[in-house]
Amino acid sequence: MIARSESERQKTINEFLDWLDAHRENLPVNAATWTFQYIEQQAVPEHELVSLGKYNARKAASISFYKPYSKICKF
Amino acid sequence: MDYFLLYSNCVLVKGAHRATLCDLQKGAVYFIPKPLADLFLEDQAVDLVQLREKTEGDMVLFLMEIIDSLVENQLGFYTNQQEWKRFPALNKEWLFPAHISHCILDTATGRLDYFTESFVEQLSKLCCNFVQLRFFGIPPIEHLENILRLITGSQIKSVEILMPWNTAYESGCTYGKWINDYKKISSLVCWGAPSTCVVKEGARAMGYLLYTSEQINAATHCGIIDQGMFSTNITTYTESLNFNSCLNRKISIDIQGDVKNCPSMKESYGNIGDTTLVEAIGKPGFKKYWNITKDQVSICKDCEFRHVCTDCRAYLEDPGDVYSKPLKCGYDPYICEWAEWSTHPLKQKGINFYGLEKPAF
Ligand code: SF4
Ligand code: SF4
Repeated sequence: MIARSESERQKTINEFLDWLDAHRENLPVNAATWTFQYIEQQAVPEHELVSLGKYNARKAASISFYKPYSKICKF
Repeated sequence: MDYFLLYSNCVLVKGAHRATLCDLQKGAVYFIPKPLADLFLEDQAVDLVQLREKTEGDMVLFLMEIIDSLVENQLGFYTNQQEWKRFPALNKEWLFPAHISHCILDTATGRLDYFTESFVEQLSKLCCNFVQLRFFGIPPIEHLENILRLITGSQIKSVEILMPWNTAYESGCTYGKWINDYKKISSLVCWGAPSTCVVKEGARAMGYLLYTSEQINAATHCGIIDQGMFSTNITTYTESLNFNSCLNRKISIDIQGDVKNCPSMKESYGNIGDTTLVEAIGKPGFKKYWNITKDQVSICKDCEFRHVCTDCRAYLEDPGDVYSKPLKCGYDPYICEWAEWSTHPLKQKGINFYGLEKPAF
């Protein structure tokens, strides 16, 4: 995936800031203090997506268990 | 600003001699001295006026410095009494959308012949999405790949694999290929390797290839309690408050095919050859360990790590007491020191009882 040029990034950020200004009255009072990050979505080819869970969600990466399954090996 | 308030994702756990502040979002654990822990109101806030009144001399400065460092580390913030109540505490309920959350499958031969489509269907019925395969013998390539293909096409979210290291697989780049091809592998641990190292670093706890020189050739190696295995997150914390942090919603099949709470336990609830997982879970006694919390276990209930440390009920310091501390823990919360458990005089009874005297550990 080719990263966007700085001017393109700035354009997207400005668009978002304009949107915030235009919708100020519908946003929480602390909206003026929000910070946000610009993250570019990584394009993952269809065949590399993982199918997960009961509803076969298609995700770029799977999810690990939240705790050790067992405690047989220490790293 | 006369109050210090913890963020709701940061929780105080008081031990006999000191306390921990666990940042359940960042996965970090901080220690705080007992005098400061005792000043917390509802385990959430410190009244700074009271702190100055109740504490003497240099101690005030010392505790205030600690609080400043907690603010710096983003564990909490300064506020006042009115504002405090506007910040609700963390919801302590543990809700998990599955009858069984995880499953351990052991094999001595390297084969898990019951791992077929219908077995995956059984796991799916229980909404069991996390599986650990523990091979104590070398799995044939085709056999393990069949299992991994079944997992890929199933609702299972991730699998951890433990298997013996083998020169032929190493030179054929088999391990690396599995990690690349099967995206549901969270980690592949090869035991008995020439050295202990991280061969391939994964991302977000998925896709790790690890070698260990340890000989992990039987279920008796399980039950290790070590700081490196602590699990600092909201799910483990809330589960630990309400349920057993190892055995709750766990199902296992040992090397004989017996369905158990964990492969190291004696009680069997039927053999996978003639019992379904649903039948095994429905049998009386299957869930008896699920409700033993760390707050009920002797010594652990006084330990500041008790809600990040996942329990062990299979190997106990006093095998006759179901509420006894895990045998393989060398931590003493009364003096805050770790020691080697296997040589500790108090552990010898348990070690003999479980037959762990020889190289198994
Ligand atoms: S109860 Fe002990 S032996 Fe069983 S899985 Fe948990 S840690 Fe391992
Ligand atoms: S004393 Fe109990 S809670 Fe503390 S580290 Fe050991 S096993 Fe875990």
